[in-house]
Amino acid sequence: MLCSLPQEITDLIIDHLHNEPTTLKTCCLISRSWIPRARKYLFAHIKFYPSVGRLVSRWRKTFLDPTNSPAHHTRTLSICNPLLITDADVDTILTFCGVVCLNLDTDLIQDQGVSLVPFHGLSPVMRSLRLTFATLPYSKVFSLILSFPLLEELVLVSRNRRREDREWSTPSTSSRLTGSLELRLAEGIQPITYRLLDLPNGIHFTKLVVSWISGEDVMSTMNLVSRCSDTLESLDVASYLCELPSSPVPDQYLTPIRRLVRDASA
Amino acid sequence: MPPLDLSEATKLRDIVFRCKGSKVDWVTRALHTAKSKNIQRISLDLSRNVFWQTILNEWSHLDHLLVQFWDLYSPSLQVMYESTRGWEDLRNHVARVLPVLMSREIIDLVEYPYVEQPFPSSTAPFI
Repeated sequence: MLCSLPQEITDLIIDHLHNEPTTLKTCCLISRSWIPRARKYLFAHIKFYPSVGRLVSRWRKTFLDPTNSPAHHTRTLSICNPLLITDADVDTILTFCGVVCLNLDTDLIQDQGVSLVPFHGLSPVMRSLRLTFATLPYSKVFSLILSFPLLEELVLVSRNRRREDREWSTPSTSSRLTGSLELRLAEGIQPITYRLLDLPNGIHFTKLVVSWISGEDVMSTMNLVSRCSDTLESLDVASYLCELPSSPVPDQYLTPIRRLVRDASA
Repeated sequence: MPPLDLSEATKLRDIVFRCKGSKVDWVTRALHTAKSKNIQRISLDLSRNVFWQTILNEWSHLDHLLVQFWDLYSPSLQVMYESTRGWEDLRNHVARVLPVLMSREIIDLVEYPYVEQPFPSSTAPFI
């Protein structure tokens, strides 16, 4: 009876199971015709971590024929420590050509040697990039950003402060960046901001999420807000910028102590 | 430090101010510049540090400014806090620093799960 169901009806049923991976895996065992639709959801989000080399290698051995690999179903690809990716792994990574959202975490304290070149232009339909790094040069970060012509959303998180990195030349083209921008940078947002403001196609973010750790970050945020004023709908600012309180203890508790000290010294 | 100028962002609908230090005056100064008539939600994420602030005057300005916003545009007003803080504890603190908002019951207290600080402690010397 199941076989007599039109394919579109079967697909519709499987669509309803999109967030039930156990059921989807069972669907793959029922009928060969059910596999493509079930794979669409089963392989939508792929994470290669914590051990990227071993996991990519396992993927390659499991799906020997790249043309038949479910990599084309993947929409979100997350990779930790790309330094461990070998030349053999690169070919496997390149099969993820329909990825819309890429999460990269260098997972190192010193990552300036990490190459992001294997990810350049990975998917022509890439919309969202999240990059977590430490001391990776901004030239490498922006080379990656600029390799995605349809990029809309950008999340940059840095864990460590780095030496000042002024290397920059205005690119000839850039994506329109119409989604959200999130900047959580240990050295402040200024070094990224002036590069973003210099992009030839401008920035048109609808949402800004920024963290301040210095006065320069306030100015940078104002520049971002000003540049996105026609599109900005949502603003999320976290200020770590403050003078330390004169005392962590409220005055009501300190006053009697001060009086005692004053009386004692008198 | 100059205030965050929001006057050009005329389509702004949702604003979140996360006070991770001990000051709140930057929030008041930023809101003073807001010209958007579309603001639908203003959220304050208050850390424990912010209640050490003994300058009640700063809180008072913020309290009155948020009331003005509510009277003009009726945005949703929220105080967000990490779930590590006791609810009653926070309610008492907020009632002390934002008395008008609390007495008029126009601000919601919203709990969110504890999340790790975005920066390691070694790189956030201002906390």
